[in-house]
Amino acid sequence: MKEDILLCGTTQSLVGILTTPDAPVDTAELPVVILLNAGLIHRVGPNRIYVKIARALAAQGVRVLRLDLSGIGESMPRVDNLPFQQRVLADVRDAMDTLARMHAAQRFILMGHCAGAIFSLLLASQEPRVTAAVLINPEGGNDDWKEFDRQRKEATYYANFYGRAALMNRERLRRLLTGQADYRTIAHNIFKFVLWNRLAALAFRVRARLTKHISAAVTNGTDEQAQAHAVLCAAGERVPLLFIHTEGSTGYEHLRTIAGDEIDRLSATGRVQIVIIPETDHIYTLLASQQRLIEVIQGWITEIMPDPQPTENITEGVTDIGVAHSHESLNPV
Amino acid sequence: MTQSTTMTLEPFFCGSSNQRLFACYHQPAEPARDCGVVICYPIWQEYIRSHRACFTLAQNLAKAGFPVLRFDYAGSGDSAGDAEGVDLDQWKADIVEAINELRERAGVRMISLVGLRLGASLAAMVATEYQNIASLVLWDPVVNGRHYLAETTHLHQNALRFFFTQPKQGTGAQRPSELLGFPINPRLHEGLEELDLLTIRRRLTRNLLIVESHTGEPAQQLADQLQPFAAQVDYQHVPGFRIWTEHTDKGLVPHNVLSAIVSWMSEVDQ
Repeated sequence: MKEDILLCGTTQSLVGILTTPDAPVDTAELPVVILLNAGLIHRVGPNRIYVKIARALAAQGVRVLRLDLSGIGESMPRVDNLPFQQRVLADVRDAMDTLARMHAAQRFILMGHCAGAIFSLLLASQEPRVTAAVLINPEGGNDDWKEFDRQRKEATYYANFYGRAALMNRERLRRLLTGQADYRTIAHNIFKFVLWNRLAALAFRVRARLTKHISAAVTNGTDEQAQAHAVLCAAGERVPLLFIHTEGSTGYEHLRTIAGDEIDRLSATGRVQIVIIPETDHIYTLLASQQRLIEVIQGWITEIMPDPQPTENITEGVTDIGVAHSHESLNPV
Repeated sequence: MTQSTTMTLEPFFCGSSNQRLFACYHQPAEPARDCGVVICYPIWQEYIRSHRACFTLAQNLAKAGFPVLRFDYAGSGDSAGDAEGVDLDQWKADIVEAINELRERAGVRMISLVGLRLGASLAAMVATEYQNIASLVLWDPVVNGRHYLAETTHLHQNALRFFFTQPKQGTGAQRPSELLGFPINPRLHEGLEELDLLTIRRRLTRNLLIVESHTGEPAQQLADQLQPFAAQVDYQHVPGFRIWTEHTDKGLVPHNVLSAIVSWMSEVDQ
């Protein structure tokens, strides 16, 4: 495995790290994976997961570019004043052009976490050179969805703080049973942060479903839903998609709420696969969950590659992972 | 000083072929100073959260005429290696490697170190051994490794409470095997437990600045303690964000802290 710096774009102002396998690859046939920034985190990814993913894929014969979009990491801001979304799309196309020119790459698999997943999906819906996309914990939605996410996380935090973990802690349990705890604060926190947030989250869910049904009946969906449907359909019709979500993520709920029917339809055709990784958070804090994520990606990439490379690292499958939808083998890229 | 606006950034790999370090050289604005600055990042999650701030600090120092080198420690960022196999000695050796690289690249006679959090502690340890550091800036240094481990363990446990489904493993061990997304091996754990900057008893540098942007670490006490080990010791409290614990998506850059550091360095490293 080899890692080199790749400067992309006409002004070479986009910085990426290209990880290549030791063994020579069929440059024309095998797609290059491009990893897009997770929000503002530079190209190493949350908890350095991108580095691990790139090295694991290189070990199975795949080239991977970890790219910093303009203004992130070491990449300089663009000077063409493009709007944000167009800027991102232009950055990725610049990187593809550079990889085509310097490394004879003709096809690309886009991959990204969170915002990187959203941009990967967008490009998969419209860029002919993109042949597949891996979407890790895409989050979306308007401010109401963000507030819903915050309420759920806050409720979970306090439920865990005052729940089993507290009862397992001898000192805290002793204080609770001997009258030394601050009962007023505990009651306040449980009511305000757990119960109230859970009620608010439940109300949001009901409202979101009602809104979806009403707007679908009256106007064929809101702008947001219509846009999500269009992008998802276009991408799903064009290329294989792998959605990876962490258990309980708001992003998955958002996806199901606004495009559940489309997801089911595309899943049934085998173009879309959804994998849920349990017992972790949005950024895969625990090492075990990072390993599971890598194994899922390795397995799927092997499945969609035109000529799978032999490797010792590939798992037997994703049988230990909760799979929300199971499918037949996906079509080759 | 007339400053050119044309500055260049050059990313590259350095070091031996089996232990390559990723580095970024920030070419100085003219007229360039005869003192290069190596920036020593924090580690683990703190490295990721403060990457933008360190990038901006490097840019600002380069604008002030300093050739600047940022680099990723072995097993960190884009550098070779896994986080599983690293320890403090390796990271100190990486700093020395970066110093040599900057000397060669910029052709400067003097080298200064700027470190943030554990990067500051590592820089201080290197300064005591290297004995040739012109200036040293310790930005919110980790003064005591045990406290640092305790604080990081607390943050890790706190992070687990946000999981929608609680993990079954990872509790009860006396020594954590992972903290906030990164592995910690027994050697590194031991090294951190022994770390105590208040025990330094050797000359550090000519000019020392300790910048504290929040209270919690005994930085003022450290400044007093290190008085005999530098010709000039300055302490500045510059209120700012704890960028190393803030959410990554905020991408915070504490410009007031960076300004304080650049001003001080411009003054002492003429």
